[in-house]
Amino acid sequence: MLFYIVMNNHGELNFSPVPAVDKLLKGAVRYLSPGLPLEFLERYFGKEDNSSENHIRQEIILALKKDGSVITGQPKWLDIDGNSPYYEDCLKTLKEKDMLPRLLIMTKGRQLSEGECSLLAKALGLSSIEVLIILHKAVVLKNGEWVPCLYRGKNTWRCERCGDDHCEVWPSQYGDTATCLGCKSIGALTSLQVLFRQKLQAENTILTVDLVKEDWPGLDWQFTNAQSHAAQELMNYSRSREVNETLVWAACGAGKTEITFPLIREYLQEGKSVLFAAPRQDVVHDIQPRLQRHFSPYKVKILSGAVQPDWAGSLLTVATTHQVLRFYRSFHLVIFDEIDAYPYAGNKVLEYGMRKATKENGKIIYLTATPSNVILEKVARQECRLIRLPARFHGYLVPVPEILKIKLQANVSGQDLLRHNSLSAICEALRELALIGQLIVFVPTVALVTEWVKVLKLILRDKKIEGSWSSDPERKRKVSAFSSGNCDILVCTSILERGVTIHGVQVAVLYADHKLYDVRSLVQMAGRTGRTAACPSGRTIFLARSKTRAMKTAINWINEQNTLAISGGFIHG
Amino acid sequence: MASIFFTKAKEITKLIWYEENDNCRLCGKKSIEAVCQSCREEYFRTELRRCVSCGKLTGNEFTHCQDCQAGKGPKGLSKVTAVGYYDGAWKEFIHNIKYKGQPYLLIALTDYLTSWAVKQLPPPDMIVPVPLHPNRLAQRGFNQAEVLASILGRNLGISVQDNLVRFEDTRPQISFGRYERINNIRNAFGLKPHANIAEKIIWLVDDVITTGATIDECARILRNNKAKAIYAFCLGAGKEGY
Repeated sequence: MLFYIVMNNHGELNFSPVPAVDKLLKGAVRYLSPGLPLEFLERYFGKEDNSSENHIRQEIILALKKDGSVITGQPKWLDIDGNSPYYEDCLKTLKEKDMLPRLLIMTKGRQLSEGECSLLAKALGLSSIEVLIILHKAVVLKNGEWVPCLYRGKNTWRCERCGDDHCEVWPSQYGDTATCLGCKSIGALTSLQVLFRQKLQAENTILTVDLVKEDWPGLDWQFTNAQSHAAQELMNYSRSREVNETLVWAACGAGKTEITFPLIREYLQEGKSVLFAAPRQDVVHDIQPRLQRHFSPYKVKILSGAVQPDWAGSLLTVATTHQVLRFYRSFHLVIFDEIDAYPYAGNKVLEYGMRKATKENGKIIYLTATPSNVILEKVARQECRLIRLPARFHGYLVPVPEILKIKLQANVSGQDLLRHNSLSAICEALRELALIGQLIVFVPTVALVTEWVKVLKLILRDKKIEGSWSSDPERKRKVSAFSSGNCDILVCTSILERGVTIHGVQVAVLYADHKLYDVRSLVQMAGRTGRTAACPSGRTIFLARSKTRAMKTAINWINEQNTLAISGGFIHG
Repeated sequence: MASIFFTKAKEITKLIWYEENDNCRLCGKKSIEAVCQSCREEYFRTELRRCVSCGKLTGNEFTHCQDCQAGKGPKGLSKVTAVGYYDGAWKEFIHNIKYKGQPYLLIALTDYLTSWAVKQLPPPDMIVPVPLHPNRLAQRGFNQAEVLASILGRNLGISVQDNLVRFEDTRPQISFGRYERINNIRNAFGLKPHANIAEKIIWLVDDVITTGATIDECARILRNNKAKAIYAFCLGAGKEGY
């Protein structure tokens, strides 16, 4: 979208995509044609510039030349009148008084890209020009602002939506122009474009619209002692003004999501906005109905790449971390599930987006069973509070992994593997686990999945054995067959590492000393055992040539959680 | 800390021993040039004539393709040239630019595109890109024709003027047959106020020409406003059997 320099009778400047709006609402009289990218105008001109019309014109010509532009025409100052772009549309649209508040509700807390503006227009049954006029009216009335999508630094560009400086530069007629690569997955932005953001003042006037005031019946969930304890701590911390971030470090299967519910409830009842974000779509689609059930008076909005954009206002939003880039200073409380999981872990763009979506002084809560070093360092520096939820909801300890030393390397395959002298010990251990219940055998690579399925089918002939990995076309069928008990042993890569609960399952991690397995994946894999109340125990065996540091730390983490759970009095008996 | 050190060290090493990207931009195979010889032979087909009216690659000895000889193609242009046959990897490359937000892919081809344009067309006074409707521009973030025009303009020192405007958000031409395309595009364009094109030689630039309905309509507007001569340049066009 291009912007024009507009000027009023006192020589005050402004940048406007529709000069007619500035005339009708603010008495602007002249505009400089042609329009130019806002990024260019902001870089070269201050709005408080008191230069004469002619001087500004000359400056534009020089600036375009400096930027390597291929435009050679002379800019002209023109009167804003009936011949100006969209004048008639402005006269008509500005008369509609109720459109602005409606649009502000729909765009609350968002930063709208130009592409989203046309989607919004469609949703409202308006033309793109009408939406542009109303949005610019919001800007003129100081309820919003236009921001260039990318800002140009000395040698780099920086994306205003995702904060990334990883850009590709190409020539447009205005000179060097950039496309941001950081947030391309939700629609690439270029430096010729702008974002619309609401300003905070605007929000106070409209925020109460979707506030539910009705009395709420009692909560329909019951906490264990450990959960109540953690939930209470979370409430206390969120009231503290000193630190805005809290890490909830829970045992696998402790019911960490639920402990945020009382806090969510408190925020919602105060009319404050809450975001529940998770890195993966399946987690988001799984949590939304749960939240909707618990917070039935509120609409729980879902945002993910898999669903159409939802413009209805809502206090409680569930979103994938990528979608969070669409918000700006929007949420009072952000709850962030599985922070150490792909694609969020170590992704600076998503982390930046998360911070930008949170209001200044808003609270961020991280939930994880396996925190990253970065966040643990933050805790050590006291920039983030730590809450432990060490006991599982059923009140039994997390089974501690055992180690079985084998002499097998990951590159041994085929006949060599069948003849290997460690094979009988490995198969004996697996047979033993399979006697207790269904068994997941984790291996580090896809090739090893097929290799071990073959071997186990030969040796454990009485067992039903399947193998799967992330791009396996039959993955869904095999995993659901295993979950419903129609398969005894599933050999797989990390696909079942997280978020899976299978009644009575046992775990073996083959090649546990492999470099792909860090402490977090080992803890998560071990955390698959003993998750249900009906079967709270189980066994995990790490089969490895040596005891790596990751294996030691994983066992230490689980032992430490268990000790905390015992000393907190959260364990049965 | 160590990983940051190694990333930085790698970046610095790259700066010292400049690593040339030596893959063909179309097929990805090793190539010193931006487009490898075998892709050039397959898609650019420099030995084939381009139909003067619609830019189509033709194997015959005539100046016009069969469609244009039968009076079906665009009529308002002095000459049209297409860089290559709009098919396979070349088509995919153009789609990546257009639909996957990667205008920067064109930069690697700057020299080839410029030299093709100056070999085929006489020098212009200005380059005019075929405009996008504002709605589509908002979705895409850039107009691929304008990027192409800017690359040529910058390299040749010729002014680029987006003098045309698109009024109608027409349905993508891809969904129509020849006659529907012509009707779809009628009155979709106009000249911007204050544009001065009288007596000017113009290169009209677009990414792809299929039936030529779009450039013909743009050329009509330019001609009606007294342009002296209009030439068209595009990345891809069809090919006539021979």
